[in-house]
Amino acid sequence: MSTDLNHAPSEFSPPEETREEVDIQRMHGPILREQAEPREGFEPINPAFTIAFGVIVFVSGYYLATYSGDFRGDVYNENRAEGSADQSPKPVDPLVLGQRLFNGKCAACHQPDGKGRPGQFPPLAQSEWLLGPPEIPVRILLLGLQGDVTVAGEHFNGNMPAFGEQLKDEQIAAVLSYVRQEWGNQAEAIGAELVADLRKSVQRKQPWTAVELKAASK
Amino acid sequence: MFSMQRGLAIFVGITFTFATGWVGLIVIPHLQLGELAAQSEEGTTEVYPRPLQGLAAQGRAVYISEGCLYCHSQQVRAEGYGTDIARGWGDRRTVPRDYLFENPILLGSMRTGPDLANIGARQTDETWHLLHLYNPVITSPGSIMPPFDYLFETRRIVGERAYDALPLKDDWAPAAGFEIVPSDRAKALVAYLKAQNRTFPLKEAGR
Amino acid sequence: MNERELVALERARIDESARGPVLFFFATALFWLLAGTVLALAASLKLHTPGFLAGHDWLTFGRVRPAHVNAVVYGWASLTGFAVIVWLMARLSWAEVRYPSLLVAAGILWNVGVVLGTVAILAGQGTSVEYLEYPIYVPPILVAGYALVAVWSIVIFRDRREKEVYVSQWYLLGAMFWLPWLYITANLLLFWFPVAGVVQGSVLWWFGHNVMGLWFSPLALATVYYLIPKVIGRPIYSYYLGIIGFWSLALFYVWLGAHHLVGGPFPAWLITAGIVGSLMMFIPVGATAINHHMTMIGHFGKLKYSPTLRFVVFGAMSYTAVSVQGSLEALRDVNLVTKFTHYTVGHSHLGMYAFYTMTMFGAMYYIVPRLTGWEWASARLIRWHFWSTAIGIAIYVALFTWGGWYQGVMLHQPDSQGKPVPFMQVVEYTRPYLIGRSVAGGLIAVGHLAFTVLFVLNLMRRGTRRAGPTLFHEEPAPVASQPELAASSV
Repeated sequence: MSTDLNHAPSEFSPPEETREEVDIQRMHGPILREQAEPREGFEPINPAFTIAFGVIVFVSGYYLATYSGDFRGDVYNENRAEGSADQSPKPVDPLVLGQRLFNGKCAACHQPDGKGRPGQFPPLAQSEWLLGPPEIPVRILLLGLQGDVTVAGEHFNGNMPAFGEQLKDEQIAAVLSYVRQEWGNQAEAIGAELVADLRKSVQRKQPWTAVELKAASK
Repeated sequence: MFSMQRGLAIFVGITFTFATGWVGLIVIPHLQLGELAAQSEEGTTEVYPRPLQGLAAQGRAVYISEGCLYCHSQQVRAEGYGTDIARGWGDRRTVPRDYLFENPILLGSMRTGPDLANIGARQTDETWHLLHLYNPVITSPGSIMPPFDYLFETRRIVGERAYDALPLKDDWAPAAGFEIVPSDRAKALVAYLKAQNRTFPLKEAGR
Repeated sequence: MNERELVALERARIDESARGPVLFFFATALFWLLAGTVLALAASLKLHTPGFLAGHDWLTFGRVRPAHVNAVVYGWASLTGFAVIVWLMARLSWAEVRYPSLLVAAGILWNVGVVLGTVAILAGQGTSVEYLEYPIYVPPILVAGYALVAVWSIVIFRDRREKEVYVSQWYLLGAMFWLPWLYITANLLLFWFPVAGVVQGSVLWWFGHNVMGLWFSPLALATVYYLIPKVIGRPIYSYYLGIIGFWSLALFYVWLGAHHLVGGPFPAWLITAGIVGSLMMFIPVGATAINHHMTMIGHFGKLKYSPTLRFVVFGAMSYTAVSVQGSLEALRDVNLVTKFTHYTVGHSHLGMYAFYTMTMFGAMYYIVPRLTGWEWASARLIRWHFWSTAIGIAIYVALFTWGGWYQGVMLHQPDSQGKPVPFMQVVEYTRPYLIGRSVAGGLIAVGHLAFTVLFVLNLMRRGTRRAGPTLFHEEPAPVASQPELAASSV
């Protein structure tokens, strides 16, 4: 299809007189050498494109029908089998629960590798306070631990917050059981009953100090 | 001469096509979710969620003004879809009811830093938050979060140390005779962060 | 005068009428490009070196980043968009711009809004609503400025002497119609009469993504559809593909916003609708890509010479790339990895920079000499501009696509033992990519400086007067006392 170089538009008529305000010398250079204004050609659409179009529509339609949870406003999970609004909670393996709790609430200070930070946060790996009698770590979690303490030969003086309010007995048992078998630790798991007992029996409200804790566990 | 057919055809077409998406993404969600209300736990007087109040509400304005959203999200994805729950960022996914009273919502779109939807449930220690804001590297070595030291004031110690002076050690400690104290904005921000807790059990979230 | 010269004269009259506003839009747009580049470099450096310029609240990353985004979106991109709307509409309608000084007033209003907004964000008044960070008193100013531009452009269309409505004009009319609906609705439903809770999220991303696809993309596509056939002197391959491309874009793009909500607290059907819309985008993007490619067949050699063509074709190819990437990114299994990572930042720059900005550079290379009557001063600076920005953005996108993907894998998928990778490890992993992005950004900034020099020299009409276009490899000889008017292409 030929293109005339400077096709004029359908309703164009030349001006009656040349306009002086246009600097012809200035404008002519870039504008004169221009091609015509763009126009469309009329090549037909390749059938392959139409087929691709159809395939995309089909795939999209299938996806839309399958993963929309019946278009309900209270279904957030797109998988139909689990999509109903009143699904009952699935039980979680205590070690997995413990790991999640540790990752969320403890790792920020005690670090994901359990090594803590020198001078600041005590390690949990090979910590005698964690791996000894189970009452000690349970007490620490219930009420917190403050002041001087020596862990694995290193000295710390800080403040471990209490978790007794925000964690239930099963959760305390789960997270302690988890850390007592991570990073080379080998101590037995702790049961929720022990936590419940200690919670009931201990009357104090303030955080423990290391000295008090040792005394209470004799 | 205004060609009625061509211009009008385009106008009608783009109005109609645009309206379909407008209905789908705005009108229908508004109809479906606009009537959501707070929920109470059976047998208790606890209502969830609650609008933020007091210092926490002020802290929200600080969160917005400092642009925390550009590095932190506030949404927990479902179990098995990502590692949000495995990381302890929540014990269940978040659902529309969790954000009922938020205006604007701060869901976020980047996780240059961790998700904060439940930061109040996993980090309750106010001193940790203040130290972290003052200079994140103190509590979290390797962090690329910027220091917010301008939310704190350096003051000469007069008499006793202030009760909320930061326990800074070694290189971080201020010059002798000085202490670093959180401003009201810092305290408000920490109150807001501690209020981020979406662990209340909700049936529609599967818990 | 022969007919050819009369037509050129008429074209010159149209350009003359558009000259003031279009040059004003381009000049202020370039200012915002530079401001946005400075803010971008600061933000990028802060991310891997958090101590950089730290300690000042107005320079904190959380303010610098949205200041950058808004400066380039509402400053650079929208102002070049206005320029292109006015000039293309006038050219394609064969109608002059009436009362151009009103358009300049519109531009002033718009710039005032962007200045106020930028300062407000740095001062801590940002809203933390993405792409709508300007405080509540700024949008009315922007709407007023925009209304003038839109109304004036529709008047040009109404006055048209060319009956045929070319494909570029459909896109321009679409863009002008869609933007006010988007912007005003979003402002009303998020700030003035806020909808409840997560519905805000849907409104926000309906707005945010449609600004890309129904404001910026149509403007850039209109430019591509005009400049490719114009420069090479051939018609567009197929009118029918153009029709399909336009109407399927109009129908499907509106749904894409919901693909920002994948995994979030939203009904499953809404998210699925967003994903489906994203998949359907293969149709308009495919149609447009075929149309552009088949038009260019046999003329790729011209890319060696013409700056306009090279920038525009770079942009058009980036459109296909970013759209394919985006359609795949929307799939739940892909989104699981990429969401919240730097991958999405790479994607957005592939769209707003490699596609939109490079296309607008091409437009400026073509349009500005026609308005000033002066050719570009230096082929070397043009080469610097092209290669710095092209290589810079290629590095940027490559780094963040690759690094962002693995960041996502570490962040969102359990390791070989089924445990999540510690967060600090993920941060450490991204650090070299963040540094690389600063380097790429520096390269891009060099290109911007080169272009700024060229632009200023052209406006000031410095250098020798040339008798032909400045191409990549040759600079035409200076004009003799009796200028010979070249009749060649480009």
